[in-house]
Amino acid sequence: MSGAAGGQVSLLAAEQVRAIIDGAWRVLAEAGVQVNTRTGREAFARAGAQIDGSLVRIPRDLGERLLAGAPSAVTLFSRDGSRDCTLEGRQVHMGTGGTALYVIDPETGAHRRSTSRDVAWCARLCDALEQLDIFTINVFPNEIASTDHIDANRFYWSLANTARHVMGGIYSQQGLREAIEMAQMVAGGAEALRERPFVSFITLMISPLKIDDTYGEMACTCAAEGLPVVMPTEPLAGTTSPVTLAANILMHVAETLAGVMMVQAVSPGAPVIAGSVGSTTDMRTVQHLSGPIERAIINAGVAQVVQELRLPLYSTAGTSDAKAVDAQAAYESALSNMLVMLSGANYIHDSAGLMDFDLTVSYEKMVIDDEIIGMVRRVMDGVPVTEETLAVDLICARGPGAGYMAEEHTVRHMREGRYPPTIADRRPREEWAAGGSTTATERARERALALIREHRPTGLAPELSAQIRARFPHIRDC
Amino acid sequence: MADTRTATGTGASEAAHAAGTPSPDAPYRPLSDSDVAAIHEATLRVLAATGIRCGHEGALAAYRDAGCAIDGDRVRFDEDTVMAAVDRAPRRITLSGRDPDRDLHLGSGRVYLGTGGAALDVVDPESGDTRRGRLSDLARIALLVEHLEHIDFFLRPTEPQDIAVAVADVNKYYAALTNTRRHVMAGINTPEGLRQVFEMASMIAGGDEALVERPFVSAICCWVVSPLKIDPHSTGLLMAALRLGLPVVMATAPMAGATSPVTLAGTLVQMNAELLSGIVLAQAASPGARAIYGAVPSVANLRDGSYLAAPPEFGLMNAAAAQFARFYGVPIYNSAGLTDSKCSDVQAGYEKAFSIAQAALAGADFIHHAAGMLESMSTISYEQYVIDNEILGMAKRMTRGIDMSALDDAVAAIERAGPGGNYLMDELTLERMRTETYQATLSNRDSRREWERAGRPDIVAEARRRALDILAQAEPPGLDPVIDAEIRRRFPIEC
Repeated sequence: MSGAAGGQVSLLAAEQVRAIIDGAWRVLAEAGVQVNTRTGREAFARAGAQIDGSLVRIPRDLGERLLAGAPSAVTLFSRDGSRDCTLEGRQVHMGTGGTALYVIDPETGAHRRSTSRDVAWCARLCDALEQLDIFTINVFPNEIASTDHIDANRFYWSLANTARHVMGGIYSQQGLREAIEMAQMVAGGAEALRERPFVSFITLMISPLKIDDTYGEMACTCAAEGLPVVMPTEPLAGTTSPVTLAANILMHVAETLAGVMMVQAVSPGAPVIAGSVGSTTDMRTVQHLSGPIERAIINAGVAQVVQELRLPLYSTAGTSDAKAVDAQAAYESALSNMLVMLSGANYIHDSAGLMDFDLTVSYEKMVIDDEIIGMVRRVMDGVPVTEETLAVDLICARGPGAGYMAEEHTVRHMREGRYPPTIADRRPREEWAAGGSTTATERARERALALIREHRPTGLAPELSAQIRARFPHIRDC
Repeated sequence: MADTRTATGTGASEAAHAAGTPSPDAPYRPLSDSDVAAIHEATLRVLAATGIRCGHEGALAAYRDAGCAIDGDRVRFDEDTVMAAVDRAPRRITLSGRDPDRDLHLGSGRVYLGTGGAALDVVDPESGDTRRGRLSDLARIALLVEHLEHIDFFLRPTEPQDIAVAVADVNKYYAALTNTRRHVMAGINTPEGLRQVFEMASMIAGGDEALVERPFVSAICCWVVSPLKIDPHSTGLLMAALRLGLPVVMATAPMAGATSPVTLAGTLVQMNAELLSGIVLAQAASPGARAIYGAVPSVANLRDGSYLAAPPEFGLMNAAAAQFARFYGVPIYNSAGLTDSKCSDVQAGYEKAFSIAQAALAGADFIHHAAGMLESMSTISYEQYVIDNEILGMAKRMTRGIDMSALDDAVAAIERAGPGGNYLMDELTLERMRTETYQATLSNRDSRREWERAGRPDIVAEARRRALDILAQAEPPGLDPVIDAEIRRRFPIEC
C-alpha cells in the first residue's frame, strides 16, 4: 500500500525551508554534535569530520556527501505483504507509538501499569483497525524485571498478534540482538529479513545535540545489520531548544541529520529514517507537553524540511495531555493528526491511543483515533475534478428548483469517497436517545473490546512460536 | 458608499487589529490551480446555458441593467457581465465592532471565527436539559461570547421561540447589542424588522451616515434557494438592506445529493454559479455594495435526505470555497465547527476541530458556526462555547504558522549553548515564550496525580462552570442610558 499523499498544507515557504537547512548546517559545522558512541565517532573520523574529544563537527560539504548515500525511500514491510509502507516523498502512513507505562484497562476502566498482555492486545487491536498501517510497540511490559529481557517479550508478543510492520524502541544491546535474531527466525534467515524487513528499531538522540553511548551503539548495530533504524530527536522549545518554533525545527533537523549521517558513516546506504518528536515546555511546571498545537506545527515544519532533503521521515502527532478520553483528547489528537498528515510526513507514529503526556495508552482512544485518521484521509483525497464530477450537463438539464436525490448521477456517485464513520453517531437526537444516549467514548470502548476479543490476526505458526520460545525462554506467558 | 474596490469607509489602520489571526498565504489549498480554473469555467457554462430563475421584479430590472439575457423569469449571464460585476465588488469589507479593536477587516488576509446558527434548541446551562431557545439565551450567549477571547464576532446563534416573528428582528439585535461590543450579524425576517434594526443601530451610532461608515451590524440574506432559484421575499429584504448601505451576506446552502449534484465538484460549481449571480445582482442594484460571498456548502445524508453536519467533506468544501473567494478577490463568509454529536463528547471534539482547522488554514475571512453548536444546526450549548473557544485559539495558532524572524538569533543561541545546553533562562526564551506558544484556556495540563487530587475534573463540567461564572460576574456593556431609553420607547423591546 503506497499511502495517500499529503502536501496540501505548507506552513513554510520554499526560501524558509532553505533558511532552516542553512542554519542546521551552520550548527553542525560550528557548534557540532557530542557523539558518545565510539563506533559512531570513529566512523565520523574515517569520513573526515573534525573530532575534538567527543565533539564532532561536520562541515556542510562532508555532510552532504554522507547524505547523498542515504536512501530517499525506506520500505517498512508487513509480514504478509498486505500492508507494506514505503516512506518517501509526501506519502503518509499511520501507526501507534509510546512507550507508555500505563493503560486504561478496557474492561474495568481502571488506570493501571501496562504488561506484556497489553503489548499483545494493542498489537491485535492495531491489526484490526483499518487506518493503522504500522504497529509501533506502544506500551512497556512492567512485569518484566530484567532490562535485557524486555525487547524479546515486546517483539514476540507483537509479532504473535499482528502481521503489520512492527517497529519498536529498544532497551538493551542484548535485547536488540535477540529481537533481530527472532525476526530472522520468522523471516527464514538474515538475508530474507534484510530483503523484506518487517521489523525496525527506534533509538534516540539527546537534545540538544548529543548522541548517547548506549543508543548510539544500538543504532550502529542496526546499521551494520542493514535493518531500518530511526534516529528521532525530541528537542523541547524553551528547555532543550530555543523557544521559537523555527529554531526548534532547525534543532530537529540538525540533530536528526547527525544521526542519519552517523549511520551512513558506519554503513553507507543503510536504511535510516530521520525522526521528529519535539514539542514545547509548560513554563509553569517545566514539564514537556504532548497536546499543544505547537507540537503539530513543529512536526509539520520538519516534514517540509526533510522532504526538501529527500529523506524518509518518522514523525509525531495525535498525542494529548488529557487524562480522560474526552473532548480535549479528541481536539488535540484531531488537530495534530490533521496538520501533520496534510503536511505529508511519511510515518506518523503516536497517532492512535496515546494520552496523558504520552504516559498512558487507551484502547478506546486507539479506536477513536482510527476514525480521526480515516476522516483526514478522506480530506487528503480532496475533490476529484472531471467532466463527470463537475456535472455541468446535469445541472443544466435539471435547471432551477430541481432536486437531485433520485438522479442516476447521485446513485452512481453517492458512495464514492464517502468515509463511513465507525464511532460518530449521525442520527437525530430521538434515535440517539432511544439507543441509550451513548457518548463516543462509550461506543469506542465497546468496539475496542469486541475487536480485542474477536479479531484473529495472522500470528506466528505454532511450531515457529515454539522454536522462538525455546530459544528465548525468558519470554513470559501473558 | 465607496465605489472603489476598498469599501471600508474609515481607512482603519492595520495596527488596530486585535481580533482574528493573520493568514496571508493560506497554507491549505485542497484544489490545484487547474481544478480552480476548471470549476470556474464550468460555473460560467452553467450561468450562460441555464442561469437562474428569478421571480422578483426589482431583481429582474437590476439584472436587465447589468446586461443579462432575460427570458421570462429566467436570467442568463455571459462571462463579461459576470466578471465586470466581480471587478466592481469590493476586495475588502470592514465589519465594524463597536470598538475599533473588534473590527473585522475581511479581505485583509486575516481569518475571523465566530458564532452562528439559527438553532431551535438550547442545552439549559442550569438544568442540563434541552429546551427551546429564548430571547434571554441570545442575550446571555452574547455576554458569554464577549468574554471568550478567541470568538471574534457574534452571529445570532438561536432564533428565539418565545417572541413573535413580527417583533423578533429588533429584539434579537437589541439583545445582542446590549451584551457584546463585537460585530453583530443576524438574519432578518421582515421589512419592518429591517427598518427597525437600521433605525436602532443608527441611534446607537449617532446617525445613518455614522452607521454606514462603521457598520457594527449586518444582515444575512439567503436570497437563493438551491438549485439556482431566487427567493422573492429574501431578495426584497436583500435589496432593501443594500439600499440602506448595510453590509449583507448573500448566503447559499446547497446540499450535495439533495439540492445540488452529489459530487463535491458539482456542488461547488452550482454554489459558485449561485454566488456569482448574486454578485451581479448586488453590484447592479447598488454599485460597490458590501455584499459578501456567502458559501454554506453541505452534504445530504443519503439515507433520508437530511442534513449531514460534519462529514470530512464539509471542511473540504468550505476550504475549497475559500480558494474561490481568493480567486475572485472577494471576501468569504463560510462555515466550520458543526458536529452531528448530541453531546459535548469526543465526537463533537474531533468533528469540530477538523472543519475549523480546514477553514482557518484555507484562509477564509469570516467563519461562522464555529462555536457553541451541537446536533448539526439544531442545538446550542453554553459549555460548548467555552470548549470551542479553545479549539478556535488552537486553530488560530496553527494558522499563524512559523515566525522566522528570530532565526539568526536562535542559531547564535544554539552555538552559545552547545551540546547539552539548556534554554530555560535564555533571553530569547523569556522574550518569546508568550508569543510563540498558545496559552491554553481550558485544556487540562496537570499531571495525572494533580488531576486525580483535584477530583478528576470533567472538561464539560469545567466548561459549564466557566460559562456560568462569566454570566454571573460579567457586567453587560449596555448602551448609553439616554439612547437606551429612547430605543425602548420607540421599539417593542421585550428584554
